[in-house]
Amino acid sequence: MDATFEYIAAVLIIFIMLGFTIFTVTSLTTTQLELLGEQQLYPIAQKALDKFILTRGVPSDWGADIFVNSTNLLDFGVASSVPRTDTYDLDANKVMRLVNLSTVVNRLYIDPVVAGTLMGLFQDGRWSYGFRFYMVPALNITVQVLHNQTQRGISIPDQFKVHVENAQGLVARNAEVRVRYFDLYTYVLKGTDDELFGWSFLDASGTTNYLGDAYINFSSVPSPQIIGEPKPGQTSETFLLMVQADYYGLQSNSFYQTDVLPTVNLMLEGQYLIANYTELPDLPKSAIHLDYDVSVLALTNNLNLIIDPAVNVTGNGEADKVLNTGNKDLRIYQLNNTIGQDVVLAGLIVTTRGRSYFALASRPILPVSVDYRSHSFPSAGLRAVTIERYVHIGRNSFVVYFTIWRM
Amino acid sequence: MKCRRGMARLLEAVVAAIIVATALSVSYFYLLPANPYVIRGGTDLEKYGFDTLNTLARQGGFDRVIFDASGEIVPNWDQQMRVVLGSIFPTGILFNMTVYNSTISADRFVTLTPLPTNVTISNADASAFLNAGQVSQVTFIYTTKYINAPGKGFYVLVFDLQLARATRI
Repeated sequence: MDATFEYIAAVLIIFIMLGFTIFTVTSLTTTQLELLGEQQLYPIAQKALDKFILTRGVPSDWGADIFVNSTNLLDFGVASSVPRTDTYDLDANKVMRLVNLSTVVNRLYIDPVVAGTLMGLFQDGRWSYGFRFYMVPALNITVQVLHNQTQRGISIPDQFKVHVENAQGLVARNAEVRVRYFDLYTYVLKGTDDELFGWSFLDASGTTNYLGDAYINFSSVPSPQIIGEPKPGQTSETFLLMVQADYYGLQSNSFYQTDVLPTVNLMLEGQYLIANYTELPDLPKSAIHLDYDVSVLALTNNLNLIIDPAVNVTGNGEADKVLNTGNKDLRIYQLNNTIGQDVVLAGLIVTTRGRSYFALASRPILPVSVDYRSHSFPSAGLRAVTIERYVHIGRNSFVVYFTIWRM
Repeated sequence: MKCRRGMARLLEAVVAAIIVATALSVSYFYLLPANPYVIRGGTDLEKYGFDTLNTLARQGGFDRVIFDASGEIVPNWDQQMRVVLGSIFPTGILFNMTVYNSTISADRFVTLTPLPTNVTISNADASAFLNAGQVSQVTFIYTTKYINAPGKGFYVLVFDLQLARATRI
């Protein structure tokens, strides 16, 4: 055989074999690197979630400071700014800054792009990773009225069924249930024109059975405790059942109202209560008395009631400039005292057409506390990683599901 | 003569190519990790386990499960603990827990005594943990704070919790 052809054949054989080897090794390596890349989402998700819930952000009390917003927030984190709190304790005010309700526009809402930039997920004008921060109470509590009794000419519930489930939807058996049944009433004493406010309550407790149900029965219902003689026909009552469930250390709250006033929507932001009320077609706005200074009722996770006077600052001062969206139905109230982390409900007594209602704002929002995300959910087939943690606000427990995916 | 020289070179080329391919293939197996599916998830399980135990401990959950009002250990505490952990950990998480009572002996040595159990506080047998690939371990030390029984004082409990994922991540 001619040597030239032999050399050519040899070189061809070398190139073919080397090329095949390189192709095979490269394709196998690429597949494994893709798998590694997917698994790298786990440490990235952990770091991002640790940043989210274990750091306080800068400034550390940015949640309650209404002058800190998306443009001047220096670092992001929702951990509690109170010194010496436990791990995974969150700041309720910071959590509320991640919520934007359809009923009350949150001017203090932190743009997810800002949060993503500070967490390193949004860089050079694009998302490197998408994320979703989803937080719900650790216990899902529902209240059902079983029986009413007629007292003072009104039908008042006196028997309740409280159903408790955990965040995975499993019934919580042997959960301890405590309830406080409030009667919130307004009245006018004879000889005066001042409308006064009062409250009374009854306590009860129970334990959930194998179905997760606790039956709470009141032999009598709370009634007004008025000192003096009220004017007839000017006493108005509304009832509120506050529920606390404790499942071996997991604690959550819920509530049940007898009268819901759909015209008033509230949101608690730091030291401010923002009220947005819409006018019913047949109800004049002036009947709702929201233009005055008010008393804000705050309920804690231990079922205690706190009265906090609040000044109507609508149209006045710096707070109004920050919080008021210019909606003519918006009212801003500044509370005299700082709301503590254990406050779960705040509300106003609203009197309209001779009846009193209790307009409520829960903190965090119920039933889904936070659904904060960079985008809508990733498309099907895109690899995403979800990790979960238990977190706490005050004594209440919540479950956080943090999802992250590559863009 | 010419044919033998050419054939030898051809043979050299083939052998050299085989050696190179073999070397590349062997080095490939040493460069890549054995199982990329589990090496990243261990830290997450440790943090999750600690977070869950801390949540149960902070408001007296363990006190309620293990002890009665007089400060005595409840006979079926292990069954209760298994039910509570089974309802708290999501589906797909394997757990196995052992609880020790920490005491100091007369000669000042710390002694760990397992609390009496009739059932294993676990939702899976040992083979499930072996097949899971990687098992994370959390050690949590807790001093009881909600027991207020005369002469009982407090207990120092050591919780040894193993966690694994039932499915490949």
